Amino acid sequence: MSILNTTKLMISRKIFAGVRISPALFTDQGKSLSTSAYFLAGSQWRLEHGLGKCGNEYGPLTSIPDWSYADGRAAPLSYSKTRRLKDKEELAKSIKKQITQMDLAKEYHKQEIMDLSKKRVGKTSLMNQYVNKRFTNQYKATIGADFLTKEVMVDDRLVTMQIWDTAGQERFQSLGVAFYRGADCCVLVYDVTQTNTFKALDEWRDEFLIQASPRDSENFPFVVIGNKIDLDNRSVSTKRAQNWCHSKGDVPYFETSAKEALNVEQAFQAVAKNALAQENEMDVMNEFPAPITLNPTNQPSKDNSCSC
Amino acid sequence: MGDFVKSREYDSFRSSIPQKKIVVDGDEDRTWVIYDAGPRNIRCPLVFLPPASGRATVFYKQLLTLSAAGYRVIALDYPVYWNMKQWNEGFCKLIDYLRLDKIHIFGASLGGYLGQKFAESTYLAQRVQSLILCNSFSDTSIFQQSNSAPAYWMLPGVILKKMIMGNFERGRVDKGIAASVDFMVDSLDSLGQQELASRLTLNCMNSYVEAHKLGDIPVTIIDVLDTSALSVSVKDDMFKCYPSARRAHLKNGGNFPYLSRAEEVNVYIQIHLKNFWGSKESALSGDREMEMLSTKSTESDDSTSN
Repeated sequence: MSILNTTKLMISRKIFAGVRISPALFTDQGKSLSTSAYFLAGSQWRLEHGLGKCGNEYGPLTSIPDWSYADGRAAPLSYSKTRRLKDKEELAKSIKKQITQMDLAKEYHKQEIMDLSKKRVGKTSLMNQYVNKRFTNQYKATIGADFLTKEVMVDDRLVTMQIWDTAGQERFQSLGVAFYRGADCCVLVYDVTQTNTFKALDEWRDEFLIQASPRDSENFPFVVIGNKIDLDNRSVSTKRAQNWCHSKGDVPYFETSAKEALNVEQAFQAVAKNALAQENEMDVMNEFPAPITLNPTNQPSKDNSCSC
Repeated sequence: MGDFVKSREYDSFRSSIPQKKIVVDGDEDRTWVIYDAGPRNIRCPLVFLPPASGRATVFYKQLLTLSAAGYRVIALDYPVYWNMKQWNEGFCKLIDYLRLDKIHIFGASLGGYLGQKFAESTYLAQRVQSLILCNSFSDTSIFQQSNSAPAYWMLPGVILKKMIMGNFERGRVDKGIAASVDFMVDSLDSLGQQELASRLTLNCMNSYVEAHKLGDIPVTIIDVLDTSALSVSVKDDMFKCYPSARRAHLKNGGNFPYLSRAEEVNVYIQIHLKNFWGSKESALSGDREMEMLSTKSTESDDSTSN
């Protein structure tokens, strides 16, 4: 039991991004290769604190507790303010649920803000900034898992990257394994203002390798992101992070701010690149009586054309 | 016999989820076969519509997993209907009979098309809350069969089967995909000539979905990248029809990912349904929602999960 709990805590502190690039449809026309990548992110800790209501882009699961950036520097928004800030459509969808959940949310409100500013590293924000070019100060805990897709150009190839953001909550572990497996790249995220989130990277890396059990765990591509560099109270130096990355086999390291969209694009570009490289490697060393040929050159698109 | 039919999981499905037969329009020949699993108090379940080649049982992996997770899930076989209008009316009567306010639809191939058509025909009443489309299409002209479709009713079953089997994967595939194809072939074998002919007629009669009427419905499109029955342009058309749809990609899995990649498909379904938690349209039981939303089942959780 206690082990499970630690796991959850760890999860909360960083992102796991398993990007998995996939075989794609090779067709006679158009796209030469489309690839999907999966990215897994760690959990939100808020769940462990019994907190819980949360939401996502579609709306109604949520009563969104207000959140303001880190350490109480900005006063938390009031509930009503948050609601005003939300765009109307979303509001209309979720309003019913909010009313019923408001009381519950208020109850937890205080504790949540304190803890949040300490523990969350901004995985979902990074994803949103990268895919939707949006940043919000409102905090929504990720429940279970979520994913976003984005098409990117990597080395002149159009690649569909699927980015997974997961909560490492116990109950979702069963849900987890299916997509941890087959990830092509894993992104670890920590908060540069929180030393403990940096320290947890080790555990997270190990955890991922256990869960995903990639064929070549020594060389599995990771990317490390230090987030929230827009904040002043930095506590993990670039040097220190770089040293850690170096010791793990020259893991690419990026410092970003999801809030100010600093470096986010570059970081994910690197993720996509590494993931794609990983996939190409997989093709070469595919030693099983291989199901599907991933490499377009090995299998002309004969089988892929529509036979209807 | 494939691996799936002999599996313990399939046994457990056959022994735990009862098959029900329902006649809705007074015609004994038109019997809907349904498998209804999960809490009955949920009024907005997820309904699975099978592809032309399969029966409701092809979704047994979803039924088992999702009902165990607290979702109400219904898989069904449609009876013989020869045109879209009849099918829509029949289906509407069925969901009325089952006392469902709204439904989420998971449609595979033809099932997805029928789901879209049903959503289109009821868009004013909004009976369809959301759609999950798996290897589906929105325009039958892609099959280029609209000329011969009217004659399907008189073709022998063998020929009809052959038409479908022609699309099944051959060549080297992994174990899961091979087993899924075997299962599908078994399923196809069990369909009578009338059933097959009517499904293929629906499948190929010239028609398309007026996607603009479905603008408000959340859609997830499950897309298998290695699948061979549908060409890329068909998939692109789907994405164009539903520009705001979530795209759930699977690297591989063949034509029947709900069998061959059930784990991943189930994850996508749960992520899709997660968006409705807490609303009246949730397919998950209230207790489970609360459980999911908070790790520690505190008293306050219990009190709100009524």
